[in-house]
Amino acid sequence: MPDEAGVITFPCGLPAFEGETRFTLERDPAFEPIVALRSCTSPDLRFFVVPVRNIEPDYVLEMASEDLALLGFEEPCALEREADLECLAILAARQDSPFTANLSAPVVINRRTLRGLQAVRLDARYSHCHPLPVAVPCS
Amino acid sequence: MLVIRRRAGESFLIGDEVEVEILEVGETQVKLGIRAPKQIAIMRKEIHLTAAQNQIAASELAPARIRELLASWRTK
Repeated sequence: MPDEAGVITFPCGLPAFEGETRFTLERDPAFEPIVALRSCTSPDLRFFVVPVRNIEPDYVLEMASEDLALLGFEEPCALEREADLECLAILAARQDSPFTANLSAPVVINRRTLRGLQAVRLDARYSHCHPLPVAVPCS
Repeated sequence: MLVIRRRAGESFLIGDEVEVEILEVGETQVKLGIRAPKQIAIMRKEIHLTAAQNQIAASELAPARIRELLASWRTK
């Protein structure tokens, strides 16, 4: 079920899915804190995402100023205090392999402007396949 | 790996059609200019890694595995 936030526009799509520009977040209490990010144009395309802070409580988000502008955030803005900001890591797992989360390219959404993008970091501070900890706080 | 030393303003070639010019050398970063035919895709390596990771995430993650993951979190 799409949540109240409705359709989120990703003007650039996601890497490897550049043509997919409209997504919804499906929140199912049974899957908390994991959320499904589903394409509106290709309903079979969905990513499972989890707030980065559930994986890395001290995660520091850094984004290029043009990415901030694309989302409609004032610059310079204190991302930590931005109430409308959602920062989610895409989960991946090959068959029978442990789960990983992409912390080097979080999906960042501005709930106010309903715009999102996958912010690929310029630094190598976090891994694109960060192994998931055994226990994750269910916020 | 081939190692070449270059200064700002100098360039090097990859094959006949790709030229990489060093535009600016900073303390922690270099700025490069690349001339290449349109059909050659050029992207930051991190974007390439994320694209590959997105493909895995989109195609190989069954909801049943998510349930397993959640169960493992909740029993800890």
